Amino acid sequence: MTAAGGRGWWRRNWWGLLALVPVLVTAVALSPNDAYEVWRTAQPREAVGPDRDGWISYGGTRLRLAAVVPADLRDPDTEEPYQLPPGLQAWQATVTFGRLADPDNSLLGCAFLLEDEAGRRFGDHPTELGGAELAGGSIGPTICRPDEPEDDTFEAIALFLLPESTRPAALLLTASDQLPAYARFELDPAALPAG
Amino acid sequence: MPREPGGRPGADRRSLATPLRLAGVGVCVLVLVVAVAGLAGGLERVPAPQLPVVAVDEVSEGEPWNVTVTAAHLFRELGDYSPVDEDNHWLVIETNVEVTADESRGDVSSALYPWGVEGLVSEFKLTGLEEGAFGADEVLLVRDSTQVGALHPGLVERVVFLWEQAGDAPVPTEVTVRIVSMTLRESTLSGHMEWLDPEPRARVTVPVRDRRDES
Amino acid sequence: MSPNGQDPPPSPRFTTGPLRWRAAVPQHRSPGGSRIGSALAALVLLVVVVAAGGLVVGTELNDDRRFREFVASGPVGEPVSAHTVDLTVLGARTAATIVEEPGFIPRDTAGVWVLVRIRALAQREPVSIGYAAVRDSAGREWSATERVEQPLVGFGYQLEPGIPVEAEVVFEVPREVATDLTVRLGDAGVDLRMQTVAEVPVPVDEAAVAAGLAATEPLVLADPELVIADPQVLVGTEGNGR
Repeated sequence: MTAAGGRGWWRRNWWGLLALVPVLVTAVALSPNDAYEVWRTAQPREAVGPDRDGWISYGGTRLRLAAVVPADLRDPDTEEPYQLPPGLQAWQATVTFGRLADPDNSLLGCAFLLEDEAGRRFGDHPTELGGAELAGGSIGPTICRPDEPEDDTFEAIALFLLPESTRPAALLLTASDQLPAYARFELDPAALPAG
Repeated sequence: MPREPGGRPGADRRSLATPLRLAGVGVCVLVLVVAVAGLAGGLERVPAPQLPVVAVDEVSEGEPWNVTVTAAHLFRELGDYSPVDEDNHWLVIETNVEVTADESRGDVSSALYPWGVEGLVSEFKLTGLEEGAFGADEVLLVRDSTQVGALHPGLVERVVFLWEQAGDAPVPTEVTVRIVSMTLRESTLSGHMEWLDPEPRARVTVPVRDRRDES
Repeated sequence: MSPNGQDPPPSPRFTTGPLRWRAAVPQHRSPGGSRIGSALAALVLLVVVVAAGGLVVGTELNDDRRFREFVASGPVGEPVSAHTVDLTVLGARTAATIVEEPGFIPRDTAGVWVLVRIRALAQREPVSIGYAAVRDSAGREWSATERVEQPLVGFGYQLEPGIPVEAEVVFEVPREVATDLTVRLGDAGVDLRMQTVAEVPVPVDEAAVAAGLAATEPLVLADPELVIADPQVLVGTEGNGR
């Protein structure tokens, strides 16, 4: 091939080469099977905090922490306290919800987590409390739904089990369609009532 | 006069064009043949016309399981297991199954199926197998009459397979059972090693004892 | 040949007529040897590219290898970290017959029951032991049995951080492999890709198998136990930076 031929090739194809740069960048950036991204967005990572009045807008409703206190586990009929294994403390968190924007779809797959001072997260209704009951009545699985769809507010109670050696530091609420955003109420461990 | 004044370059192009055109025609013909054969059913899975015959009580060896068909019965009910419709009955195939794969298997219900039996109620199709290959409604461990979850490598287990048959269907006096093989290979979809390509590998014809009058 | 018998006109490439522009366009290839050369070069390049591709495909790890689980192994009695959960193998029992609770239906076996006692401790968040299996030295794998309700493995038990739980995991294996087993545990389900699995040898010897099979009474499965009050365990949980 002649030198003239070489120059011609570049002259005819420069635009293609130039176009290749953004195409490559886009291809790398928009990889559809980015497993890490899929995993990352399924984790509660972006905290949504409360406004000045303590309300958090999240998942098509607003919610407010009513209380985090040591759980009063006792048989509702006999008033007999529930025997926890030694070294453990049960906590209950009460959250007030406003009206759901969409009673069928708001806060789908909601889950509560209690975070301790060391940043460890504890699940709602742990296996160990399967047979326990709250003094106030049944403690079925926490659902983020009002008893009647038209209710303007409703409450949900979540139940946690922590080692006695640690105390709650934050209450988290996740909804599967909102992740990685989650609602987060900071607590003051020192201000919580003793167990 | 030549058709174009280009002379040599034009001639070169023509000498290339003929084989190219022939290749194109060839590809078209091939596509047409495959399409017509496909429309006529030529691409459907067809079991080998003559499956090897295995006798009753003889082990059909293979992967991912060895299967021995030992007997067949009709029962009104079997232990706690009753047909959905009380006018129906169970077709019961008794077997010994040993997992030969390297891991526990939870899909033993697709290890075999009766062939050509009329009136099977649920018609639970076994994926990847021929039309008319229906999986059992229940698979039970004879040892303790519990449903089989998984079977484990190297342990021979007595297992019964149950199909609900309509009460008004012809009562079989014998039944042909087809035993299924699978192949461990890399999936072209997932890229992982998977047990794929189920196909019948043997057939057993076993007499059926009508025990519907027994309780 | 033209009808009047004259020679055909010379190739336009060499005329001074209106077709002269052809020769002046620089990107047109020159005829003859160099064209064959470039065709050959293209062919050689093609072969090189295809061969290189074949080499890459041939040497690349297949997906099962690329995405295989991370294995953390350790000895009996010591915690092994399976990323989200610490697992300690404490011991093992064997039996010919087991029963979930006294009075339940005894379960016999064609091989031998192996009950591996483990302690599990979630690290940072609630977690379940979704994967439990034993493997022999030949690579054969037995999943935890479904013939009895497994107290700890599966997704029925949610472990909480800082609250260690001890329980037995039950396996049904051929007698001949019972002394050649490694237990594998992790928080994954059936899909182990890129997950972490703890591996610990199962402490069972011939004498234990023989004794287990000779026992006349069915072995009763132990209930899960919280061991939070164990001071040694508390020391372990408070560190958290293991």
